[in-house]
Amino acid sequence: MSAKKTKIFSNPIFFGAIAAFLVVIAAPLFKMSPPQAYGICIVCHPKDFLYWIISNIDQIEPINSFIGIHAPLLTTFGIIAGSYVSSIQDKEFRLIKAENLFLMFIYGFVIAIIGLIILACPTRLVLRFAFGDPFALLGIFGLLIGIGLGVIIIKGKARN
Amino acid sequence: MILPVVGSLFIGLIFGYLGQKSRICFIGGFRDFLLVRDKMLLQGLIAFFATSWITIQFFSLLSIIFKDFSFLNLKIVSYPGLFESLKSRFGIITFAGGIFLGLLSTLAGGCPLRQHVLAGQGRTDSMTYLGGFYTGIVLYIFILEKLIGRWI
Repeated sequence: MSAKKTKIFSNPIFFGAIAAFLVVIAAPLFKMSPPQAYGICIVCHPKDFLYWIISNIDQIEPINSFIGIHAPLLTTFGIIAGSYVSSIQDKEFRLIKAENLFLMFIYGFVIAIIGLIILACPTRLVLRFAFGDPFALLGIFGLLIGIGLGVIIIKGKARN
Repeated sequence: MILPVVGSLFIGLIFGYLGQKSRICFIGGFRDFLLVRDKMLLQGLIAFFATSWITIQFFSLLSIIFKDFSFLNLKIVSYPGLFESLKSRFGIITFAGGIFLGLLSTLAGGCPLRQHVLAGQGRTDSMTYLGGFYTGIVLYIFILEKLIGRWI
């Protein structure tokens, strides 16, 4: 691959344009329609995948009309696989050992539950806001306040 | 029912591949801007929002003008106004949830999308994060949804 192409791929604006177009077109093209604005959600798609497994084991007809309950959505597995392919290609893949593993486990645990309660991960909040959802705007306001608090904590830690 | 499966896998692959190359993070955009005034990731976030908004408006315009394109009308559900949503319980919960989501994601070092990308790249702390993430989802489905679902 030429160096110019790789440079375009590593531009966040390019990512934003391609990803947003794909996510919006997912509803008419890939039939990922009910609920609205469901092209990407990092927390809801695995939840629906789990629901799909449960309904297949129990042989129950799902009550909900959500698309993820009728067909398995493999988005998060795709993200991990795509990132793995990209890192192998750039020779960036390496196992890095970290120390604060228990804290990271807790972070993931709490963030998943909060995301399921407000029906959005940060990515889907932006997508829902683009669809004109006022709840998503409230969520983004909250997100900004939260990030501000987090930045204050990080700065305080760096000072000590 | 094969279309949503293939489509979601394709979307995931594109998000993972380009996300690894561009280091995109939906938390990191604001965080980097507040910490070191770096606008790189924020540009990606704004591009994501702008492209999706323009695409939605373009599709709904097409579906209004041409009757053959009525399947392109993506806004099936209409939303309440901003002030009504502010007063409702779900609005308050979304606002409070957003604060915690932003705070904890900043401390964890990235939004859930970024953590998935880092896990695919071989970072063990992100893999542990994903362990907690999926444990949380399982716990929510089997226990919490029955408790919380009633009043949300």
